[in-house]
Amino acid sequence: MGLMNSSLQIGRSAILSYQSALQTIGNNISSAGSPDYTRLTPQLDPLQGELIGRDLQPGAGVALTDIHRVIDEALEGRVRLAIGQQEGAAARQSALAQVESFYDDLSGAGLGSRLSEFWLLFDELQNTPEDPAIRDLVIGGGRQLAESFHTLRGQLGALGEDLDGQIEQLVNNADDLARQIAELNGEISTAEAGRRSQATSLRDQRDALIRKLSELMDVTVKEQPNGAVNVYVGSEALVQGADSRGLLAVHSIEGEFGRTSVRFEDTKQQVMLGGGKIAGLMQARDEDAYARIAGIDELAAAVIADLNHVHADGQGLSPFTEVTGEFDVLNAAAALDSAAAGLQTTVTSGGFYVTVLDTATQTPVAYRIEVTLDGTPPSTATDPSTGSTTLDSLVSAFNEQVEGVTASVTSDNRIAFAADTGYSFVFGFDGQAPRADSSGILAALGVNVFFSGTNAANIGVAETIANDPSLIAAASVLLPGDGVNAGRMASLATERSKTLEQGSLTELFQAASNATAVSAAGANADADASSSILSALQAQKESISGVNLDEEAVAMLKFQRAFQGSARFLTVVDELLGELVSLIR
Amino acid sequence: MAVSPVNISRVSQGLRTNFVLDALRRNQRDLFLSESQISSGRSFVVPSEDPARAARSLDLSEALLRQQQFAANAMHGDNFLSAADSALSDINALLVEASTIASQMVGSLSSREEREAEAEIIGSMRRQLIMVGNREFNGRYLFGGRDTLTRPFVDGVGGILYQGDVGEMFTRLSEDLSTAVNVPGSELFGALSDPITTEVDLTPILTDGTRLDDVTGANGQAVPRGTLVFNEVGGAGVFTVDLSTVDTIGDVVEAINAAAGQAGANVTASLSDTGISVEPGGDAVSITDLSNGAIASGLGLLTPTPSSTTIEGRALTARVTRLTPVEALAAGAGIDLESGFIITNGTLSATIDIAEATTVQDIINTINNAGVNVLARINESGTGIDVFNQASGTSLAIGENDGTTATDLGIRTMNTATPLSSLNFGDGVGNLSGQTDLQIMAKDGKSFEVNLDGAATIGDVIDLINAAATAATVAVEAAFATTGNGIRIEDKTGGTGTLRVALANLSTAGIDLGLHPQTAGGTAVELLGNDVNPTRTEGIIGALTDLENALRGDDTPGIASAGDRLDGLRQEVTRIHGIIGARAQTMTAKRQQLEDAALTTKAFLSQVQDLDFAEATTRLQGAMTRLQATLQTSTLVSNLSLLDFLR
Repeated sequence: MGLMNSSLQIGRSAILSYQSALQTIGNNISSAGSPDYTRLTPQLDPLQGELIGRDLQPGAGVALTDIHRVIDEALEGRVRLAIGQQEGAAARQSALAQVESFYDDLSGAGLGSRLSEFWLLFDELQNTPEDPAIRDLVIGGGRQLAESFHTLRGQLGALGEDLDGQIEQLVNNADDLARQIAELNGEISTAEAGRRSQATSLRDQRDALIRKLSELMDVTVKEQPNGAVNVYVGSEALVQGADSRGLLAVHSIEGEFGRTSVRFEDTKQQVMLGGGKIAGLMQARDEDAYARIAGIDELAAAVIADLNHVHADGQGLSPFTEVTGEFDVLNAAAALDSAAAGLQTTVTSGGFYVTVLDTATQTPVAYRIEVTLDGTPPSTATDPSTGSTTLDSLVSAFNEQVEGVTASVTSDNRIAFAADTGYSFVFGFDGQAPRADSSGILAALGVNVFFSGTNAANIGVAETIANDPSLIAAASVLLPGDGVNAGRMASLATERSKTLEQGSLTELFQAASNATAVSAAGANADADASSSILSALQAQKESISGVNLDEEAVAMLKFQRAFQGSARFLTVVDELLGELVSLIR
Repeated sequence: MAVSPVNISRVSQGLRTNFVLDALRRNQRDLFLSESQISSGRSFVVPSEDPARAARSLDLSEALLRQQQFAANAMHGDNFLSAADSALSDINALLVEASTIASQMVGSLSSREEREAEAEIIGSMRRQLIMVGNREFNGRYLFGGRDTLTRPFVDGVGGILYQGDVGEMFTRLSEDLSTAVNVPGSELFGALSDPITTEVDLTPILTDGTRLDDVTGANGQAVPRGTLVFNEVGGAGVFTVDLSTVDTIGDVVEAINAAAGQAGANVTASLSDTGISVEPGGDAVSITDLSNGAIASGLGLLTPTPSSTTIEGRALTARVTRLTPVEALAAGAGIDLESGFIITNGTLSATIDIAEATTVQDIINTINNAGVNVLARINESGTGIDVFNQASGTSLAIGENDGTTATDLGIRTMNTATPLSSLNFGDGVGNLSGQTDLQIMAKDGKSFEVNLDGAATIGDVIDLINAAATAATVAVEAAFATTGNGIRIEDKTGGTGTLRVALANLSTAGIDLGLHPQTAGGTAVELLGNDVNPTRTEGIIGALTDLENALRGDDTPGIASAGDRLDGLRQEVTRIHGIIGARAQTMTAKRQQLEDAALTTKAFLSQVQDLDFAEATTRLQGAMTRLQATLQTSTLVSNLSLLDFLR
């Protein structure tokens, strides 16, 4: 009986097993084009048969015992990490490419060119300070420079906002992915419960989702005995079994700009991201966009302060009849160097010269107004003689000394000077020689200055001179052909900035621009390197898990032949059975 | 550039596809880069492709811009100077012509009528000269100094008035080189007189409010800012005094005392009229500079060896400024404000009242506004006031108004110390050697003669007159005028005749001293001499005016003197012509140099920025070949399949 039964059984097991094995091969071949697919190998094990004779065991055929996914889980983890790094690097690369184009001056239309060309206008002004056309050019140059500052700052701000907007979108995507992974976890553990083999296609789907998630953030994965995976971000679990904690994009306004942060939905705790596209975008937003805005603001503030400082010591083609400071103090009764006064530029003890001119005879009468800032309590408007100078006490000291010009504090705490009828006035000149303001108070209060504003967003040509370019202070001794002060302003292009001290203003912009180029080059290199690493890892992964059609063809031949052999074996057994049956007749 | 590892065990379909895709991506990117470089002609299109080159290129573009601007500045200077240069040629031609006329007319052959006619010509030449002086270039007066919009020369009361400025205009030829592009009319035309010079030093005393910027340091230089290092040996030890932002001398003293107090040192600083002194309280004190500073020596306090006695700072010199209080002037002696003084300029005269003056600018403004064509300003060295005659062709005299104001201010044109040789515009006083020069006739009819041999100053003359009077027992006394300027002779004889000074032995001394032909008759007992040491402009216009007047007045010595002056002025004009020529040449040379430098910079820039086309095309060719090879091999390899052999 053994022959009949067991042989037919052997043939049957082989037919069934190879059919299934061929099915697996077929599946492999058909999925060769799917990037997420992990190749399957059928495992064929011999079956233990009955004894023949005393102790012979011919076996009972073959059985398909497992179909397993050829995958290296450790490599998979490294691939995920590399994906995150590559996506992060790519995000920064594309942000920096934009930043670089904002700064790019090779075309000669950026802030750098405007800044360089602006100072040159003061050379022209020194050459012919009487020429109204050149004065108009200087105003135009100042406006263009201010405009360039606005543009660059606006571009950086918009980029930051745009990157921030992308973050919100991506956090929502990540949240979706985490939820789907959790769902699949549930399905996989149900499908695999009590079975030996894996739910291969579900796992492939899940792996694809985890890879997508790792594009967005640096996740690590730990497989659980029930087939589910826990997904961690840093040390915090995001997905546990069939549950996702959920991710939330929280938009907050810091200073002037919005910053989106990523939080867990359940605890509202901040998610610490170390890699992936979201972290890359955050870094690009903070370091490449917003931090640069701070740098540009600093540069604009230095341009304003340095130029105004020199400008305040000069005179225009005609004297002032009235002028109002561009900058206000927060508290007119606070010492001018105190935080309570809130002036943007440094003010020290010293004094400035104001010279009152009799309109009819042009007779100059000079006065020196003292500013005392020695840390003593503020002086009062009624007794300006002792204590630290305040805006109020400066005004009363001025009015006490000076005849022909009246100072006052405007309703918005700025200083204003107005000449009496028949008088006019200038600063920085004592009637014969140039006299610098040693306290810096005129520039700080924005009296007789070129620029208004305090940063790259609000820098602009001071209204007083924009309305009357003849008030551009090219002169140092109030003569129309005197361009000495214009020359001093021109030399600010190459002189060390008094405000920033690390170099000249043009050098500082160049340094910022070079830093951008270097960062962009670094980001390019980073992106290249991380994509090399990724493709190397992906090559390894493909080499392990990918389908090779030739291999599959060979396997197919093998299983086909084995199937054919088994079928033939069944025929032989059938024939043998026939022979036996014919004996009975 | 992405590279797939080669040490892999098997090649899957996906791997092969990825590899081909990757290779295609890389090759296409290379191609695109080469393409964009070639189409733009630059070795890098965005700075990040080559940050080092990009930085260099920015530096160079910046330098180029500046060089081009400096070249433009030099061009501007060149143009302005060339205009002045051509004006100078015209002036020179006029001067030559005027000199020729003077030398022709000085001879006795020329008649009064001829001289009258030539005077007309000189007059028109003078007007031409003023036109040259008022010449404009691009809407700016060439010779008005920095006052380019005010006509520099105007026909004023009593003479041609120079209204321009005395300063130079500059243009920048490099970061640290500014060069003058003009010569002010005051210098070229001699349109301002020399300032009235006396020995008076108005240097004020130091006060708390004296600004450090207005002080010449003990080492003769401006006082720098810095930090003082005190060492009280055995006491508080080392402490520093930060003087980096001090404004006034008072601030310095205060800062030292405050720092000493804070350090617990027994050191007191105080201010004297001429410097700062530091009093150690027992322990010896040294004062030095922090690192490379120079403020200790500037303030005259440098004391490297500890001293336990008072450290008397070396003298500091405060400069006179427009805001210097009048009472601080002349080392604190002040000046006689009450009396005022008298300015006479040609036909104009004014009594200057400065009784109300509190600061120097009050005095200067009063003088400038007196309407007598004078210009007062603080002198360059800050030791006094300079007064200039602005009008060409008039004589400026400043005398006392029965006081000492003008003398105190150092602006009196004549006093007892005035050397005789400088009188009458340097012509001096005629003095017959060994013979008497003056005969003074008193009111009582007595007379005596004075020999001026050995007299060097006005004071000497007065002494000689008084000595001769005493010797001759004539009650006549000479003294220097207390109102106005001049020798005053007082007759105390009680006679009723006329006091007068006659010329002895045909000596011109009486006229030259301003004592002849005045007389004092009737009840008058004083004979007042003229101021014979006035100041006038020594320039071209003044000389031409004098020549014209001399020709009209048929005054041969005047014609000769004016002719001589014109000859001297021709040399002066030639000198200034030389200066302008040299400046113009500097400008041209500098411009050339800057243009060359700009060219070199351009060449550098192109080296840095511009694409090496040969290299780029080779690279493009390489990339193309690679792409082609990739396409070919990948098609070839992916066409091979075992499946093709199955049937």
